[in-house]
Amino acid sequence: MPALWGGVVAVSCGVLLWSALDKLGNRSDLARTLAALTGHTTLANALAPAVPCLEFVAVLLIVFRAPSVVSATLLAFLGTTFALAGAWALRTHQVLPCACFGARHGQLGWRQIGALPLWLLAAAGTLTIESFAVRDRALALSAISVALCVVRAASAYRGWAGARGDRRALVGG
Amino acid sequence: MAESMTPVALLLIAMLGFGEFLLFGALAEAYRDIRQIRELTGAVDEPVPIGLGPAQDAQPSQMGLHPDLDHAARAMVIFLESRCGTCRLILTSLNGGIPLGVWLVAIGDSPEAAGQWLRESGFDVTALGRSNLTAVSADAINAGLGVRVTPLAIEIEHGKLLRARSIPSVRQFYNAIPIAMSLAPGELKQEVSGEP
Repeated sequence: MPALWGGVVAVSCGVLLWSALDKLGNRSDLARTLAALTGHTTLANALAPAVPCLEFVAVLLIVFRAPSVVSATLLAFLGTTFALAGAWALRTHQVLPCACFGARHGQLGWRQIGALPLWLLAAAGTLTIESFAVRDRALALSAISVALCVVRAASAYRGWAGARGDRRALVGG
Repeated sequence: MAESMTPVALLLIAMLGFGEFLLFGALAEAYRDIRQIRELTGAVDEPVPIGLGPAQDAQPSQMGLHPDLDHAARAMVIFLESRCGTCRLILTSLNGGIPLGVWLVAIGDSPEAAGQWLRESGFDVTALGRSNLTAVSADAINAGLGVRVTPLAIEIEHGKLLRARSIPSVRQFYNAIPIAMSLAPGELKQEVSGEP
């Protein structure tokens, strides 16, 4: 059972890391979404870097075995915040880009609300993985980072293959 | 010491992975930008449909094409112009051969110039006009079909001009080659009357 919970927490860390890393390159899109949600551009610009930072902090707290209550609370807080953003967008009938993974992934709405139980599940999972040592957690983190790297490399490879094909088709060589 | 260093090494690996993630992301974004620039400037390797106008559903011979095409179940007429760079690449790639189902029309300043271009590209020009290889002048083809874009492919089905599209590259030329099949019936039997 601890291994299963460990897997759940690892997946949630992978999602948080992907989200945080993508937001690093697309803070303006997140700021626009936050400005539309809050109605305050200045506040949105201040919050935009805070969101990926919180996501990183959540992962680091889990890896370095901070008190599990703290990690669980932060995970639940993040999931709830995302769900509230989705609910607010639905309630105010606004069509807002999610900006969850940079700028390219859907709109705020039911998806974020639907993901809340998964975030709460991951939060509960952090309370049950006390037996895992820092070394094991660091090993999982490095495996997650390599997996994320491979996925993103595949995307870059597809782009390269398409560009190369177009270039050779049009100008040869 | 070794036991305590391992988490540090693992964390370094993780950080390297994150750095690579960002780099690959920037690379993927750059390729998306290239694609977008290509689409905006029209430099994309995709055929563009071209309207046939009054020639739509016309018989090929009515538009100055070979009369045998009036009976073709499926054929592709390719127009290549001698001053067009892509046309020259396509002709060179054919290496003197014409794929089944393809009818090649070489356009030059004159029929003789077009024939010379075909000869230099390795084609047998002795059967010009009597086969699926034709050499014409630009004036003649403009007066007939009004070809303004080359390379151009016109699809013919059941003896009618069906659709036309541009061929932006050698790759798209080979993608456009049709699968042309036909029956090979034996001798027709005489009708047998029921009466003695």
